[in-house]
This record gives sequence, C-alpha cells and structure tokens, in this order.
Amino acid sequence: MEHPLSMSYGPLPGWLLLLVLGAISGGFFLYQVVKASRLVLIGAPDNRFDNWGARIKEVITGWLGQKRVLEDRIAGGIHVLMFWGFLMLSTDMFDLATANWFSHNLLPDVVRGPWNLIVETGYTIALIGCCAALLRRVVFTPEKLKGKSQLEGNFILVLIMTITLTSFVVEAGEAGVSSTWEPIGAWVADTMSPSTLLVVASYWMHMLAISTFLFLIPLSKHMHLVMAFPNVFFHDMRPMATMEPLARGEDGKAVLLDDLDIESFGTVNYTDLTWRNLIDGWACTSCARCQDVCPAFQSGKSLNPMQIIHDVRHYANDNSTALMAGETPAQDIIARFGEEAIWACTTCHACVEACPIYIDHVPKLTDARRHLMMERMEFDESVEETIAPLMATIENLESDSNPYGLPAHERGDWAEGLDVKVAEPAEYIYFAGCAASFDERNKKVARDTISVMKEAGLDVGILGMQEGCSGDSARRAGNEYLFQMLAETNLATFEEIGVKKIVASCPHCFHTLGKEYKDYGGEDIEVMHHSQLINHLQQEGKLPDPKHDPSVTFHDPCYLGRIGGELDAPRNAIGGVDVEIERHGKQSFCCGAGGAQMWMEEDADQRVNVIRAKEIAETGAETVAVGCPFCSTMVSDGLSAIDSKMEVKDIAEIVWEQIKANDAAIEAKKAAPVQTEA
Amino acid sequence: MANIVVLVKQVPDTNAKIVVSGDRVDLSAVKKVMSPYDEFAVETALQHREATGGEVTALTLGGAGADKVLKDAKAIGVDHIVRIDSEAELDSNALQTAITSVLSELGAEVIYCGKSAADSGAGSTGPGIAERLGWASVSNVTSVAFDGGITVVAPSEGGNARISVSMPAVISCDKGNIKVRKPNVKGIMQAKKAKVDVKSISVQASSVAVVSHSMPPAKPAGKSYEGGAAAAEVARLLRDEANVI
Ligand code: SF4
Ligand code: SF4
Ligand code: SF4
Repeated sequence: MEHPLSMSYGPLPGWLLLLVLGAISGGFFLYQVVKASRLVLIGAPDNRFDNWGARIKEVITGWLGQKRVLEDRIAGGIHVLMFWGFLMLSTDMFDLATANWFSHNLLPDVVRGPWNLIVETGYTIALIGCCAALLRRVVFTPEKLKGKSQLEGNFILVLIMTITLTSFVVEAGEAGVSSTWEPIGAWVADTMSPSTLLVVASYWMHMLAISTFLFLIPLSKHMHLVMAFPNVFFHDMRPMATMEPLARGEDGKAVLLDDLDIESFGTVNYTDLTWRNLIDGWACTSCARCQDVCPAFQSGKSLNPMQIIHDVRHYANDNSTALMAGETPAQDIIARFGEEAIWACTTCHACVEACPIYIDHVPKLTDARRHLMMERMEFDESVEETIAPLMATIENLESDSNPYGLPAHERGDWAEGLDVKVAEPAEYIYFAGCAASFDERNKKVARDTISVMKEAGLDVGILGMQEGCSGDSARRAGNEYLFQMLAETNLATFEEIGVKKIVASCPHCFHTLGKEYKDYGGEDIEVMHHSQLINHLQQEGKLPDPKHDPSVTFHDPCYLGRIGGELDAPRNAIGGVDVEIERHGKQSFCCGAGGAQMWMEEDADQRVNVIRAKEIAETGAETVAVGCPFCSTMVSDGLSAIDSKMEVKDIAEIVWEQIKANDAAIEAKKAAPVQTEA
Repeated sequence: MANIVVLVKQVPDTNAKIVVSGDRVDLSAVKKVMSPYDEFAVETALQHREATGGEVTALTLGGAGADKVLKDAKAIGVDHIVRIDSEAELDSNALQTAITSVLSELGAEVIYCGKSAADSGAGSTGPGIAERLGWASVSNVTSVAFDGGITVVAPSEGGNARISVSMPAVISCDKGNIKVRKPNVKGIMQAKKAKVDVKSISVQASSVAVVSHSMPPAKPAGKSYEGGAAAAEVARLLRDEANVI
C-alpha cells in the first residue's frame, strides 16, 4: 500500500497535513522549551562545568541507568520500562515522519533489521510499562496519589498507549514486514491483516498522539523529559549538605571575612537563586518521594519540599513577562515559599536523598533564611514565635560562642578531674562541641569519650575554653556571617595549637568541621566521628571487642548516616544491631533537631521527635543507641512524650560501660583463685 | 536638624570571667564590648535623628582597639565615628576635659551617653561634661520623646518625672523601655570599612590613680532550710545576718 504520507486527503496531500501538525506542536514545544530555558538562565551564576568525568559517569548511572529512580522498586521499574522504551523507539518518529526514508535510504541494509527490532522492543516495553502504570494508578492507587486529580497523568498514559498500539498496526501495514526483526508487527499482519483504512487511521492517530504529547510536555510535569538530563548532569558534586560560602575567590576558596565585600545576602528574588537551582523547578516529576520522607511535612508543618520545587516553576511562569524583561515582580520568592515553610526545614536531606533526579531542595530554603537573617531581619508574624528563641540563641552564639549563653570560659569545665591535655598539642583533639560542653546529660558523653580514648592509650587533648561553637546552627539558621566568624576563629585556634586530627561526638560538628571548614582553611585536618575512631580502635585491638547486645537498636543521625555516609561504624562499635528501626541507615528519619530547629519553637502537636520516638519504640528494643547529642535530647523527650521507658545511650557511653564491666570481670577473675586457695 | 553626639565606651564583656593578676585586673584574654547603657544612648540618639533630622557622631576615647565599639555603633546607623587617641588610664577629671574639648570642636548640640560604664560604674561622665559646657543635664533617663522639643522620663524619689529639656543638653540613658536595634550583616560589613576619625589631643595629667585591684571576697555558700521547724532560725538569720527584716 501507499504510505499514508503520500496519500491525498481531499485537496490536501498527507505530507502537508503532517507539516502543519508538526509545525504547530513542534513549534509550541520549542517555544516553551526556549522560554523555560530563558527563565532558568536568568538565575545567578554557578560554576557547574568542572569534573566532567564524574558528571558523565553520573549521567550514565543516574539518568540512563535510572539508579535513583529504581530505589522505589515498583514505580521505578515501571518508569524504567517507559524510559528505555522511549529511548529505543525515538528514532522511529523520524522514520514515520519521512515515509520510511530514514530506514530505507539512510540506514545501511545490515542495520535496518536490528534497528527494527530495537524500535519494536521499545514500543513493546513502553506499552508494558504504561499498562502497569495505569494499573498502579487506577487499581492499586498508592496513598499519596489518592484524592488528587489523576487526569493529567492518566491522559498521558493513554496517549503513550495509543502511540505504542498504533505503531504495531502501522508496522503491519508496511510492505515486507519481517517476522525476524518485527515479530509483533508480523503477527498483527498475519492475524488481523489490517485494512488500508485501519493502517492510515492508525498512522494519523499515532502522529496526533505524538503531537498532543509534544503540547503537553512543557505544560506538565513531563517537562522532566527535557530537563532531567541537565539536572543530573549539572548536579551538586560536593558532599551532601555542604553549604556554599558567601563568596569564593579566584582560587575557589571562600573569601575571608576581612576581605569580603558584598552588598546583598541570600535569596529574596527569583533571580538570586542559581540557574541550577532553577532547573529543579522544571525537572521535577511530581513523584512526591520527597514529600513522603520529609519530617516537616510528615509532622503537619506547612513545608512540603515538592511544593517548594513547584513554587519555583509556577512563580516563574506567573511572572514570566516581568522576569524576562529584567524586572522584579512585586511578590518575592520568599513570600511564595512562605516563611513558615522556610523555617520548618531540619536540613535532614531526606528529600535530596529520595529525589530520583537530583533535585536540591535545601539550598532554596537556607538561602532564603540567609536573606531573612542577615539582611531583612524582620520576620513574618506567622513565624515570630518560632523564631524568637532562635534569635536569642544567635545572640548567645555571638557573645559566648555557644547557644546556651553560658560563659565561654566555662566551656572546658566538663573535663575537670580527667587527666587530659587542655589547649596543647596532642595527636587527637576531642572537639566536644557546645552540647557536650554545657548540657548536663551530654557532658557525660564527653567524659566517657575521653575515657575510652585514654583506655586505648591515645594521646588526647581538648581545646577547653579555646574551643568555640562549630557554627552549624548559625549556618543552617541563615547567619552565614556568624558561621564564618566562628569558623575562622576555630581555624585560627587549630592552627595555633597545631591540630591534626579531630574527634567529634556531634555529627553536626563532624560535618561542619570535616567538610565545610575546608573552604576556609585547615585542609589537612582529619575529622572523624567518635564512633569511627572507637570502631577503628576495636579493630586494631586497642580496645576490647564490643559485646553484642540484642536489646539495643540504633537511631542513625542524619548528619552521620545519610549526610556523613557512615552507617557501619556506630553499629560495629556497639557490637552490631539486630533490631533495626523501620526507617534506618540512609533512609533514617530525622529526630527534629537539625537545621537549627533545636533552637526554635515547635508546635506541641507537630513534633517530629514524637513520630521518631514511636518508630523507635516499635522495635521493642530496651535501649536506643544514638551518636548525636541533639538526637539524644530529642529522642529522650520524644520517648517520654509517648511514655516509653526505653533508655537512650550514646555510643561512647555503651562502649565505656562495656569496658568497665570487662575490667571488673577481669578483676573478679584475678581475685577468684585467691579465694579458692584460702 | 541637630548635631547629635553619642559617647560610647569599650568595656570588658559583662559575661567574661575577671581575673586579677598581680594587683591589676588582667583583661588581655577578655572580649571587649560596648558598655550596655551606651547601647541605649546610641539607640536614643538614632531616634532623635529620625525625629528631627541631623547627624549622629559616636565618640570614644582610647587606643586603636577601641575602634570596635565605634564600628558597632556605625553598624546600626550612626553617621560619623570619632576616637580621641589615648592609651593612658585617665581619671574622670582628665577624661571629661579631653572629651569636652573635642565636643566643642565637633559642634555638638545634644549629647547622649550611658548612665554609667559597666566597668568603672562611676556615672560621672555625663554630668561632668554638662558642667564643663554649662549645659542642661538630665540623668538616668528611661524614655525620650521628640515632640518639637525633648521630653524625657527620669526616676525621681518614689516615682518618675517627665522633664522637658531644652538644647543644648547632656542626656544620660538608663535601660528603661528602649529597645536597641540590631545591626544587619550588611550594616556590619559596611561599618568594617568605615574610617574612624582619629583626634590626637594633649590630655592633662590625672590627679588620681588606681593603686590596685582586688577580687571581692567569695560569696559564702548558700544555706537551705526545709520544713516549718526551721522557720525561727531562718527568721533570725534574715534579721541578724542578712539584715533584711
Ligand atoms: S531537608 Fe528534611 S526537613 Fe528539609 S525539606 Fe528536606 S526532608 Fe524536609
Ligand atoms: S522534587 Fe524530586 S522527589 Fe520531589 S516530587 Fe520532584 S522529582 Fe519527586
Ligand atoms: S540532631 Fe540528629 S537526627 Fe536530628 S538532624 Fe541532627 S543528626 Fe539528624
């Protein structure tokens, strides 16, 4: 039969019809993509053109290989079918639009067969994926999809189904369909011998469906088909949760405070966000994985990380004329995000970890905080109560270098009576941090950590009153200036004393000192979490082997596990964990303290730590081990709120208890023979 | 339009641990801050400028280390910062004379200062300067209103007095209900770059000098009593030892 493109339809030739259809839908698609790109490129500069090798690798595994998509086995698996299906079938569009000129004239004969097979396989797996997706949406609707309009998503699936089904009929209508390379097409030809009319109708339905799809892509979440690729390619390659300094010099290092010369701080306008932050808005697939894992959202606060990402795109579209003309819209992006949302984030990075396409939710919120904290210094009424205690904390940090407002010279008092070097060179410097220096419950953790280190025969020192807050809270709260002041002060102390190895029992100090300080100096200082050191010493035989205790579970602190990448050391240090909390490891759920939330007011009925405490109590374990002073406080409070009698102990406390018990047992053994002889 | 001057003094952080070594207070390791009452004075001076227009100059006396308090004042909005360069330890007489001479040079019309400094606590600077200038002087002011003129509230025996003050005047500020504004980081960064106008003047010799410092005697440990039986003993101690009843 004649190709449908070569036929005439009334006075109009087929090719003209396709040209018009293609021009309208393709033109619209291109126009929208260009518009979106312009709205992205007006963002603030950000150098993401380094590290090509690693970026390409990530594109291969993360985009092509769908690594993160597959973290959700079912939805991810379905997506992989459709994604790969479309990649495989994509060239067929040229072939169909050129009346097979592509396959017959451009492709060498030897590849035509395999090419046909690839294309047909593509259509087939896309169809399977699409049916599975429809089934999931309509029959086994997941909780998060319930109650929302599924029209758009379902319609697109029907479109894909139309594209794939019609392709088989069109194939069957082609002369010489090969049963080797196009088995399904051949089968359709055999069993149905479709009439010319059916083939022609299928061809035009196919083309119409593609055109409709082209229309819908830029208007829907399917824009991720275009934007996911650049999003993955240009994603942040630095360690997770490492925040950007106020300014970088030519050497790539942070500009020190004395040389800083900047006029505005943080993000208040859309264009203050970097272009890479802006792509996120168009790349989002609305899969809601971020929303599902967000402690702020789960506890009923007004922050939904997915909404923040949607806000970026919707704001841009609502204000596109002004933005592209270089004007500043009346409503700023802070107002669009909402201050309640901005101040609810714990910076736990569960959203970032969960997102299949490398979206960075957190910098949008922390950059907005920077503006509010350092420049505007006025807060919306809705957050005044939340913020008030934080402001007091900031003042304390400014004056006493600790959040509690206790005299800085009392900082080292917890170590009184311990035989430990104070502010002098030692192989290991234990950086206690504010909580372990001032909080009664956590002072014991500091003392036990020192005891354990000394037991292993290490040369240990502390900085005493020369230690200052690491600045984590100030940084996450948006007071970057204060953070940098604290960082520069600590770094000067490290240099003065000649610090080489730092041990921290607070994951926030571990992260800040270990990763973020590197932008400011002290590049060769090694920073470890106390659980890592303890585990190492046990392996080396400098500490006794840990005793396994089946009644202990472990709460992964976000800044140690997900963000710090250390899941094994704390578990090994206490002899292994049998009963895991349902969400653990990289999927651990925040205690609610991070992101300076520790110092903010939380509504009694929206407490993150209560949610977490329930999960912990469900394990039935007697003790929950923690590796973070703030987790310790939060989890303890949460457990008492739900009337649980579970004990909360730091890794160091458990290890030290075991060592003491061990020593006692040895003593008893030594004493025993004397008794029998007597 | 008023030419407003506010006097600020750098003092050891009120939270810092004070150590006496030899017979002098050793402040080498102690952080220095603006004397808290001076913060109220700066705030009031800024409110004065906002009400009437004009310019605010913050003035201090000390070595280069004292520039920090001037910059703190600059960060929250004063227009000019001036330091009288002197490292010497001055008595009130020499200090007030030196400041007065610079105040005249600056053409001050109204002067704000803290009611007393957090370190020496003497409270003589404001009235002393007013005396030298022959100006009006009100002290321990808890609130100031600018309604054409200046009306202040200051404590008087058993209550408060509302006092109308005519310029030129020296006003020393107490805590009251004045809320001190906080600098934003932009202000702090601009202040860091601001230039301090340094005045070198010859300062007259002091007529008194500190011979030595010593720590106050340690407070005896607190006593606690429980139960009604101890009531008589507590009453006795309150009367005979604490002298409060
Ligand atoms: S970092 Fe944590 S709290 Fe913040 S938006 Fe992401 S998941 Fe929510
Ligand atoms: S931000 Fe990422 S995780 Fe969240 S909905 Fe969008 S694609 Fe999904
Ligand atoms: S306190 Fe612990 S759980 Fe909570 S944010 Fe920090 S690391 Fe995460």
